[in-house]
Amino acid sequence: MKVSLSKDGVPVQRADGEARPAFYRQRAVVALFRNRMLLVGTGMVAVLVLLAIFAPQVAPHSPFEIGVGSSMASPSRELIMGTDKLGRDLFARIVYGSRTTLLVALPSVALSLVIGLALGLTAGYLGGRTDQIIMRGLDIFMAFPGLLLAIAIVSVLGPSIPNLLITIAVLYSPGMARIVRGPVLSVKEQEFVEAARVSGARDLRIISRHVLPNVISPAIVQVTLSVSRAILTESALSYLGLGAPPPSPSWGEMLSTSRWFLTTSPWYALFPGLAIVGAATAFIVMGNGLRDWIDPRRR
Amino acid sequence: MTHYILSRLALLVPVTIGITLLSFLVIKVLPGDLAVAMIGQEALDQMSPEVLAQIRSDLGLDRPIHLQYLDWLAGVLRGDFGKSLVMKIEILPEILRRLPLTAELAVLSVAFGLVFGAPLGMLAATRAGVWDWVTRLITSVGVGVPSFFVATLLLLYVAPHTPWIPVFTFVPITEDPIRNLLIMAFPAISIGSGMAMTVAENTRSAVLDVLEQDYVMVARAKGLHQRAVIWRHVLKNAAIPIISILGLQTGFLFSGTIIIETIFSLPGMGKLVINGINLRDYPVVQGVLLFTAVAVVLINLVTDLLYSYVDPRIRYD
Repeated sequence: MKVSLSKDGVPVQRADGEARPAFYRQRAVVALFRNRMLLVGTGMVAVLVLLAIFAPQVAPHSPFEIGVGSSMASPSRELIMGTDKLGRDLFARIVYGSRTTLLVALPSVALSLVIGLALGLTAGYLGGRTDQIIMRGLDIFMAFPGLLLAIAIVSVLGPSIPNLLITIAVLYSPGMARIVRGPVLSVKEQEFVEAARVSGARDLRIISRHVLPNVISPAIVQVTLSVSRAILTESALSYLGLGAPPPSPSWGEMLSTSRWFLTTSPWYALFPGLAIVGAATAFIVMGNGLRDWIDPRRR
Repeated sequence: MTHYILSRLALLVPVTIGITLLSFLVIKVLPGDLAVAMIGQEALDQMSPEVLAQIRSDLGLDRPIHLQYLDWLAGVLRGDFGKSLVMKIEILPEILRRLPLTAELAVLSVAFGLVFGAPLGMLAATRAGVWDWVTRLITSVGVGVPSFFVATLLLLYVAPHTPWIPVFTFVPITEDPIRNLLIMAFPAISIGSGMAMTVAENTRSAVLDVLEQDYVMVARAKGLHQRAVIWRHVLKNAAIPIISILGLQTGFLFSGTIIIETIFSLPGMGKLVINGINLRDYPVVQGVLLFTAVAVVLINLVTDLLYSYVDPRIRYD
């Protein structure tokens, strides 16, 4: 029997005529490496994460060391981003600020994924009254402007990294649940799910083995986009004085402080602002690239 | 259509009740309670338990929580959001007094977002290749630029060269419309720039979807010029999802006003919330939370109804 080959030289069909799974995997990998946005975004995220991990090696000074230079010193060869009002190395505070940002953004979104998956899977799979109750509950949460709700929660709980984490997780869980619920509604009607049900599989097994793997892709895209929003929310809260308490370095807090020095030290506003933009953009670009890779029709 | 409107209105009731419950409970999450949070730890250490108990009793905090909620809800339904405990102001009248400024800022931000975002999205959708890639890059980066950084850049690089644009001041539009619009320029651009990126992305998606439709192919096959195809067939249908996106952005708009009003010292609702937080005047925060959530729900309802009026397919889903 003649076996067709793809232009990459991989046999397309098995002997019985069905397409080889390896063919699809190889096509997916090729599409992955052709996706420039995903490659660029992943590279940027990798740089950010490495910066946070290797902050002590990258930063020449401690971010907490006062008097490294004079107060509000402008950028120089020794202090490439200058200093803040306490004479602390701004470059060190920017580098260590990546830790604060990622320490808040990543776990909070991971937590929102867990909560969102639980709610979305439950609502979508069970349907009926359970679905209505959960969705109306989510509607209530989503009616509140995100930042306003975050401000209210953090202001009453008190600004700290754990409280920021919980607040952002609570904020993004409803959106995650909605994203997951949509595909669940269609996947649960598929024949393979019905077959599993008929064969006696319990609901939890059906959800975990058959439904979840088929709805996880949009959730993963949402995760990367949510991380970028979490970075912006954390920065906004820090800007308002509700972020990680001092002396923890925080980009939002640095940008807020820069307001009082715009005329005398204009450079002070640029570095933390660009850091926020860079970090948020990295995850946005990665998320957009991931979305294009998963669903090429959206390109 | 009537059935659709009635069903949407019926949905409003449980959601609104839920909003009041959440607004009430957010303040109840306070460690200690409202009295302790207001007094502060230093004063609390010097206060006798009897005085603290009296303060809590005066605030009604010693009653069962469900009674506190019902009492508060009854006041809200009468239009009484209570009185600010620190600023000593009636909360709802103060919110309504500040509402026009915040609403004006939101409208101007949306206008900026539409004026700059829609053409950008159209360009990306109708011109493939480099144009599309550049536009997607701009929108990807643009979405990651927070409004407070845009405001900082405007103050840093634009304000010194435009002394005729006043900053850190405010004049109501009824007093001096021209000066008011000039004052609102930087704040509206700060919030509207993020909005423009969202509008551009959604316009691009909507236009691409419409361009794949059969009637567009027929229009091209008839020999219509590309510009005519875009203006007569594509734009009208692509505008529909953009309308719904604008409605969904209401929450984002208000979030933007909180920081921007603080930066530019504009006496709007956002500034009121920040004042409430700084002074630990939590009833004010609670009042603004409730008001904006209900406003968002109503605006979304109007948007949905408008959407279903424009596109009859929606109300039959």
